[in-house]
Order: sequence, then C-alpha cells, then structure tokens
Amino acid sequence: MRKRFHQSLDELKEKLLVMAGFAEQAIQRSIEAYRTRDAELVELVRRSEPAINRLEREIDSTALDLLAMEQPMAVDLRFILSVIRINADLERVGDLAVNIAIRAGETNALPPVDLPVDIPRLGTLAAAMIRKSLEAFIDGDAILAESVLTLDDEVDKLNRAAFHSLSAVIREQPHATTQALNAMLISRNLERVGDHATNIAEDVIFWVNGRDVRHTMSAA
Amino acid sequence: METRSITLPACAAVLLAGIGCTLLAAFQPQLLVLWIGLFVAAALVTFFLVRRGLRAQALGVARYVTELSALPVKAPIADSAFGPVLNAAAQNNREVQGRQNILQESRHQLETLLEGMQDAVLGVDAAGRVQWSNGPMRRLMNRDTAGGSVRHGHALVHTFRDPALLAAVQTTLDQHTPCECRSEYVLPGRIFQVNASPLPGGGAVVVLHDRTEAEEMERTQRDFVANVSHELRTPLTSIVGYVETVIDHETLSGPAREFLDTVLKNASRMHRLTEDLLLLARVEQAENPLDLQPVEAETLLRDALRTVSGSSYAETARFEIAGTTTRNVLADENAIMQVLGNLLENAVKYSSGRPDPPHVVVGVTEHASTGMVEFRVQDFGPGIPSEHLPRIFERFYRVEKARSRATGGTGLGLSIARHLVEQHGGRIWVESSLGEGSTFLFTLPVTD
Repeated sequence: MRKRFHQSLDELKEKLLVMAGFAEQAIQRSIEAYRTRDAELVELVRRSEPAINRLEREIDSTALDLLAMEQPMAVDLRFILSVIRINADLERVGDLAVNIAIRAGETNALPPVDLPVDIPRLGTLAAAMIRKSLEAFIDGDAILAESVLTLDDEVDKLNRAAFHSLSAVIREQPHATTQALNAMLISRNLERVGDHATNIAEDVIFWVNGRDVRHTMSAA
Repeated sequence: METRSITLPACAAVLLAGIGCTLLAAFQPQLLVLWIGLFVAAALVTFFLVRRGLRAQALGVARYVTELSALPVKAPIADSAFGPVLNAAAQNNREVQGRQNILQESRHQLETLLEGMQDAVLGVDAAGRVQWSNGPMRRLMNRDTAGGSVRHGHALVHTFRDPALLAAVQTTLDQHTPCECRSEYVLPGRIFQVNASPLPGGGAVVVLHDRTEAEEMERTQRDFVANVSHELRTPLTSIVGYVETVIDHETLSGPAREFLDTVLKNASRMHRLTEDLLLLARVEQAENPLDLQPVEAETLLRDALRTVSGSSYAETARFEIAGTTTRNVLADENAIMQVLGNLLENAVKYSSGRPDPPHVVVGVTEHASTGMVEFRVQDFGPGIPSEHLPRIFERFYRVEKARSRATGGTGLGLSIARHLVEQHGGRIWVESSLGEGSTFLFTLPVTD
C-alpha cells in the first residue's frame, strides 16, 4: 500500500517537472523573442499557455486526491503541499512569459531604439533562478534552494536600475516612450519570475527541513 | 604424529613444573616469587611448543589438500558410471566460461567506444528511466554548467525537462522508431541535435550532438554574405547603368564597343549573383514570412509557364503539360513562382541543343495518401551523373562549371528552390539518367 503511495508521489513529481519544462521553455522563448525581434517566437509562447494551464489542473487534482485518500503525514504531507504551491508558481511563470512575449511583439512592430537596459541579462538571471530552484526540488537539496534566495536580490537591483534609466528615457526622448514602457514592463515581469523562483526554493526548504522561511531569508 | 610428539612432553613439563612449584610454595612460602617465575617459564615453553605443533599440523593439512587437488580428475571419474555426464558438464562449463569472456570483452569494447565518443549518450529503459550514460553526458550535465545532473534510475524528466526532447524519446519508446529533434533548452545558450533510437529489448538510446558552434558559424556566414551582397549592389547598379549609356553612344569605335560589351556582360552577371545571394540570405534567415494561401496547383504551373515562355532564353523551347490537378495547395504564390521559374529555366538552358528546340514536360499529381501535390519538371538533356545528385541543391555546387557559367547561372537557383519548398513543409529532389534527361520534383501540402 505504502509502496503504491510512494509510486504516486513519484508520478506527481514527474508530472510537475514536465510542466516546469514547458514554463522554462516559455520564459526563455519570450526573452529570445525580445532579443531577436522574432514574431514567430511570440506566437509559440502564446500557444504554450493552454498546455501549462491543463497540466496545472491535472497536477492539482492528483495532489488533492492523494491528500484525501492517503492522508499523508510529516515529510509526505509537506511534499504534496509543496507540489501544490510550486504548481501555482509555475503556472504564473507561464502567464508572465506570455505577458513578456506580447510586450516583445509590440516592441518588435516599432522602430528599434537603443534603450539603457539589459533585458537579456535580467532574463538569463531569472531563468537561471527557476532552473536552480527546480534542480533543488528534484534532489530535495535545501542548501541549493537557499542559494536561490540570494540571487533574487540581484534581479531586484537590476529591475530597479531599469526602472530609473527607462524613466529618464521617457522624460528625455518622448518618441521612444512606447518602447521604454514595454521594456519597463518586461523588466517588471522578469522580476516577478525571480520572485516565483524564490517561492519554489522556499517550498523546497519547507518540504525538506519542515522550516517555513517565507518573508525571513530574503530580508536578511 | 609430529604434533603429538611435541605436545605430550610439553604438557608433562608444565605439569611437573606446576607440581614442583606447589611443593616449594607449601614448604617455603618465602620462595613464592621463584614459584611464579618457574610457572611463567613453563607456560611460555608450553605455548611455544603447542604453537609450533599446531602450525606443523596446519601445514600438514594444507599439503594433504594440495596433493588431493593435484590428482588427475578424469582418472577416477572415467571409470565411474557418471563419467560421460560429468565430462559433458565440464565441457559445457568451459563453453559458458568462454562465452562469458567474449561477452565481457565486447562489453568492454562498447564501453570504451561510448566513453570515447564526442557526443553525449544516454540510455533509458522501456519505462523511460535513465539506466546509463557516457562520460561526455555526465560532463555536460553537471551543476557547474547549470545543467543539473544525470540522475540514473529515475525518469528522464529528472535529467532533461525540454519538452521537444522528452516528446522525441517518448515517441521512440512508444512506436519503436527513431526520432530526432532540435533542442535549445537542455542547457542555456546551447543548441543540440537530439537523436533517439529504439533498443531491441525495449528502451532507447539518446544521443545529443552539440550544434551551437556550427549554427553560430552558419549564421555569421549568412550575415556576411547578405551584407557583402547588399554593399555590392549599389556600385554594380551604377556600373551597369553608365556602361549601357556609353554603349549607346554612336561615336564609339569598334574595339571600344567590344570591350564595353564584355564589361556589361560581366557586370550584369555580378548583378544577378548579388540579387540571388540576397534572396538566398533572406530565404535562409526566414526574414520574410511566407504568405500562405490556398491556390490551385494547375494555376501555379500555368502562370509559371506563361512567365518563362516570354523570356528570351525560352523563345524556341517547347513546353508540354502532362497531367494536372485542380486541387488547392497551401502556398506563397510568389515563392512557388520563383521555384518553378528556376526549375524551368534550368530545364531549358541545360537541354538546349538536345533535342533542338528544347523540350520540357511539366505536370502536377495529387498523392492523397500523403496529403501532398507533386510538381515535376522534366527535360531531355544530357542528364546528371549520379555522384552529383546528392549535392546538387547545395549553394554554388555545379555539375559542369564551365557550362553553368556559360549559360549565365549563378549556382544558387536550386539552393533557393530547396529552402522555399522546405519552408512550405514540402520536399524537393531530382531523378536523372545520363543521356536521357532529368526530372526535378517537389511537393506542397494539399489544402481545402
């Protein structure tokens, strides 16, 4: 009986990782769409959203069934609760990727403008945070998860810097307002992706150590 | 025997020493120290003798066992009723041992081969769990390169999360057929060609070939060619324009006009070349997305023939339509006109003189089973030697360099045609027999 339960937990983990793959792909494609001004990538990101939403519903349903039928305790209970929360975070990452892709599509339709913001760098950092938090989830590695929390500060700093420099562009070059606003929103969305990666890392720590580190470690 | 001869006197010595010491202790209590000394000495002597005896006994047993094992086995067995059975069993044992050695050897060779490969290789079982991986795969997937790690014994998704890669491997596992895909999300910034092949007993082998540098180089080359062509176009337009103006001048001497004709001819050729290079660069970079619309296959063919018939090179050519279909294909009309134009121009130019005038047969056929319409352009020229057929769609590849240049070809027409057809989801190929002519065929998807 317990063996079957643990097999179900493994399957739940695998399903969550499949969904994570879609979310990671969407975020990387959206950054690439902005960098290369590729309209096809924008469309691909938009089309990936239904698959992510469907997987979110499936994973939630499986997790709730396991909670109701197996009444797990201790580490198993914490694992299922973490999966439910990570699932919601990944779905939001998928939504943010679509937002970024739409903004990139709008920008691509306008004349190119040199903006004082490094969106690809911010995107690479945010994507690396997601990747690292998922690696921590796969291995149940709380130490790796803690290292993700420190990365969030850098993403926040880059986002703040982008906001200030793009505000200056809007003031000084009114003709580039739309492009600057889109870049500002993309930067903000990437900062939110970093926040969701932090949430995933915190869920891993909760699952492995039974410790709730939300709103404690990032402020330190 | 030897042991007993040593042990008995030893025990007697201890016994005597013990009795002697007890008597001494009874009558002379002050000699207690002497008593203890004597007893310890007797015990040491006994221990030494007994140890020597046991060692000799152990050596004797070992010698006996060695002698037994050295006896010829066949001699007693051959005489017994079980002799043939035991001999057969021994023979079988030797054969199994031999096969095991061969297997181990081939396994060792296979392991060496896998480890020596440049590509990263990984094996999954029928349930999709990672069973083994080679060194390059383990080096590729480690946390230092942000690649996580290869997790043996777990589902493949624990190692790779790229949806395209997972789908390819799953297809191979389900359908037992090879499957390939391009993966950009295995590692950040890296591009891989992934090949999944089924294993005979279930499971699959996954090979990751790193294409990052090759694709980067191809992109750089394309950009370079596009930029150079663009830069060449403006001065060439000036040269052609001015030469044409000068040639029209009446006072020009005969030799000067001849020279200028040569300049114009070569400048025009360079102009065509730069135009083709720019077009190829645009097609390869997919800069202009295709405007796909349903269009009747026959209409495409007739429009192309009408355009080509009006050209100077096709004045004497005879075109014949053999088979048409009114089915619609999903195509960008301009792109397919370019493809058909290139193929028809080649058919006329490369068959001029045999027969005279050139004869070109064109046609379209619907293949309901594949959902494609097949276009074909057939000439009755000299044909293409088979060794050139696989490379004929490459950029600047020419079967006969001199002849190709003489006919004004740039060496890019077929390459452009291939890219355009493949962008439509179709395929282009050639069938040819020396002395009988060539047929170029391409397919386009059918639509309602």
